[in-house]
Amino acid sequence: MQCLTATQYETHRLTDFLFKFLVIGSAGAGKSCLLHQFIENKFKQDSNHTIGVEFGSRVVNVAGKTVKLQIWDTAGQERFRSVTRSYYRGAAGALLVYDITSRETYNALTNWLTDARTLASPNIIIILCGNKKDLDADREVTFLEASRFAQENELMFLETSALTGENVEEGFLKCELDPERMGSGIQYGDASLRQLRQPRGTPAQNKQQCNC
Amino acid sequence: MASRSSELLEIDMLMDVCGGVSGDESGFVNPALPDGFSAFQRWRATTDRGGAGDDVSPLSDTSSKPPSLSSPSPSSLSSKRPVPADSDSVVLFDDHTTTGGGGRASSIVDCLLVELYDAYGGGRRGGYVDSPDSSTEASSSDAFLGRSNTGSHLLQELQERHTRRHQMNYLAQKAPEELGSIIQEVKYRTSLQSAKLLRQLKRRDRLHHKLQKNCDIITACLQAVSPKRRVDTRLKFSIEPSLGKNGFQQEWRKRVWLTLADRYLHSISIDWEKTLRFAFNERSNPDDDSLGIQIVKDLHRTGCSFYCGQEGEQDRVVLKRVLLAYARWNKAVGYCQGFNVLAALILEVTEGSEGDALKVMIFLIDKVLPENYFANNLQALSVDMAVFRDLLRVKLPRLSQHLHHLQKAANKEWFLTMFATCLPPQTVLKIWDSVFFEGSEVLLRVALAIWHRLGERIEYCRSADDFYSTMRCLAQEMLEHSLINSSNLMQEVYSMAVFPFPQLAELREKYTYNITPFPTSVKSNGSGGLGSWGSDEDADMDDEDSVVTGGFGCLGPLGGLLAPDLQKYQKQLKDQVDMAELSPWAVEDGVSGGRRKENPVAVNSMMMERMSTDIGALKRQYARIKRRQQQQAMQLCIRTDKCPATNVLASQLNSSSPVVNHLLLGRKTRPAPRTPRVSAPGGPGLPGTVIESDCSATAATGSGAVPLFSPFPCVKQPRRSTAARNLGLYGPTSRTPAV
Repeated sequence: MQCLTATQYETHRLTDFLFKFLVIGSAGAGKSCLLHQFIENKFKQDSNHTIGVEFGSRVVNVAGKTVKLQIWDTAGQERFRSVTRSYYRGAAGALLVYDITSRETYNALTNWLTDARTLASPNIIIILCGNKKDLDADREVTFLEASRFAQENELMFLETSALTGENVEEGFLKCELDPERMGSGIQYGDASLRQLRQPRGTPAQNKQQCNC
Repeated sequence: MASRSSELLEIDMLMDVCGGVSGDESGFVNPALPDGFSAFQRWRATTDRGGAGDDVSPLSDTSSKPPSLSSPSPSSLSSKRPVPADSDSVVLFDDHTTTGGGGRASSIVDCLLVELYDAYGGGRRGGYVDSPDSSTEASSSDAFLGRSNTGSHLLQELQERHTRRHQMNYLAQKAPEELGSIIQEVKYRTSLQSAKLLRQLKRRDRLHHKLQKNCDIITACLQAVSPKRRVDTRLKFSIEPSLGKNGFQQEWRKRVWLTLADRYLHSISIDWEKTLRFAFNERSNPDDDSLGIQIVKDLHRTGCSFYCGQEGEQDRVVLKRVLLAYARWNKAVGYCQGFNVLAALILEVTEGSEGDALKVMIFLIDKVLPENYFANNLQALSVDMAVFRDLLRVKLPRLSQHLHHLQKAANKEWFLTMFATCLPPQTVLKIWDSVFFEGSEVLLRVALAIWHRLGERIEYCRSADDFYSTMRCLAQEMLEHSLINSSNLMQEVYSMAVFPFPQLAELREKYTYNITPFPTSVKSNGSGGLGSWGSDEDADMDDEDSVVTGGFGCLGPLGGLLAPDLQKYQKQLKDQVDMAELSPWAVEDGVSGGRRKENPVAVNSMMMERMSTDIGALKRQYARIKRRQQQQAMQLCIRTDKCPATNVLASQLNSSSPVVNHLLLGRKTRPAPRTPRVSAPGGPGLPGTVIESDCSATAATGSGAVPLFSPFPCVKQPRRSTAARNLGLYGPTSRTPAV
């Protein structure tokens, strides 16, 4: 046990950045499956629904820097949102997931977005994720409609499939590829780099005000 | 362990039998007698190499056994006859003067052994396997009688001396050579008996295996003719009673749960038949759709493999009907993710009976667990989490400190599924039995006991990241590898404190009280419809924050200016709690029983007093809040100018605008009945009334500010007001800074 902890500690030391990442969205949109696919590269067949919050982490390499993604996978049911809310704090990015075969999950996006915008850092990077791309025949939300929504709300958008793994990696890595916009979720790392990554147009003062 | 002890028992028995057969004083000594036995082994190895080849492997398999068998034999032997064994000499011969000198006899013995064993082995192989009562064992004692070397002759003579003194006399007369041959004979017989014992053990194993196989065949037959429902797949034929293995037997568990549930239903005078008809109605009710969608989504991911795939279809239907029935029964609670896990386990206990399962579920959720455990944004659960953190701090201070350091939120999953997803089913059932009998506090106790066990491994974790990885490992181990021994766990659960848990009721009350200082205003906000969860989400935000701050005292972005006050307030509150808790815990005798109750009440009433008298402070506080709100509104106005106007914002504005000013406006609609729950003793000191009278004057200004609010502050506003309310209501004036 101690040995494992030691190696974990080592990994910590070696990563340049630590990102807190959140996966949110309505129940049954496929959040846990996306996370599982991203971490294990496998589709989770008989997955249990998430109760409360689950956790996963993966170290990725972005532009020569190692970044540790600390991903919190949240429960989707409406009444669990009170549980989910305490996890927004300090999140650098959020994967906002809906199910392209269920308009209901799409309609709930605005609520989720409100939570994310209000509770997380204002610089949080939100990626809209239309999951279950493989079920194109049952599609209820068109790509166009969702991308328009994303544009209106300044979100990045892509459609993924946790089953085939399509776009899953991209979804999680998209915010890292945009270092300009890295939020305040960086917990430690290279100080000079962090300064560089101060989000544009958001002076520190402003940030404080928004947080209070 | 059980099989082990039964094995030992068996050996004891065999010993007795053998001893009886070969005469009381046959010189049958400890089978572990090292040199004798190993000599026999050596001999066995050489002889078997030639003839009885198929016997070699089983015997060498078991050759490691005898040392472990030695433990029971001394007792069984010494109780029968005074022959405590020594490795080299038989102590029976107290005064024996001889040593060794048996070289002559050994060769004869060996020859005889070979002869005897071959004949013996051959006969055995014939009809052994299927005749458990073969005469081989019985006849083996005759083998001793037929022996005609000096050793056996002398031994027989020795046996004829019945008393110990006579035997001693007899031996004293013997020459050293004769004694040597006696020893040789004794050793020989010992090794022979050991071999026999091994054979018996092997035979027992074989028969056991055969029995198992036959049982399996019957099981297979039974399953083949069964209707192949889920319960049938677990059907197993056995001739052993399963009583006592699983807490109490399944049948009894079912009966007890149902009795308790029935008693509850009786107490609320329910027409059960009618309820059943309504709950399991085949036609769909108007609100079934909204209830049903999530249920159907979760059915296949209940966590047990029974509910997956094609063959789980039948079970899924049953599960769905039960969940829907409960949702129809209690619309306020409806369906909460996690119910499926609970219902699945209940269905297993009630053996698939839907009506019984519903009964138990109603009893469990409506009666046993605290109100709002699953409803109203899991309010009672949040309270229990906060309570649990307090308990953890008292019971396991070091771990609590460490968890605090890791910023670990308490594990809600444990409580939400009542451990059904994190412990093996048998343990979970035991816990549930206990919950049904003792109430929901058992959950807290179990959680404490689990942390107690995991503590050591958690302490190695240095970061939150570490912690989560470790926890995942531990969770796996708990679920699959019985990291936690269920009986030990339950023992700790019962021994950690008296029932009911000291201070628990007070703590729960305190946190319920603390988390929602204005449950009434919460209700009025959500008055649009209780069924829609979105409506009281904003009120819930208050809850969340106070839970977080109450638990950790870490405020994060809660608010620059208010943070220090709040922290101070929290700290003070905690100190109070500590005092209240520690004193009764330190002294556990009967005398302190009175004090135990007294202390928190005193604290409560003190706080009440403070609240009702500090109207001046409240007014100041309120003015401050108002000013801040206006400031904030201005800022946000500026900010929203930058934001693109989108449909999100519009919809938000619509949905949450009534909440913005709930501090200022929402009080008109507040229904009265909820208030008594919040306040403890002092009627006039109700926090609600104080504020109401205070703010009615300023309500107009508040409403004027509404249109200015953008969606962002909408949700934030109540937070600050909570903080302010907390401060204003509970904090003494000295600590509220003047604005």
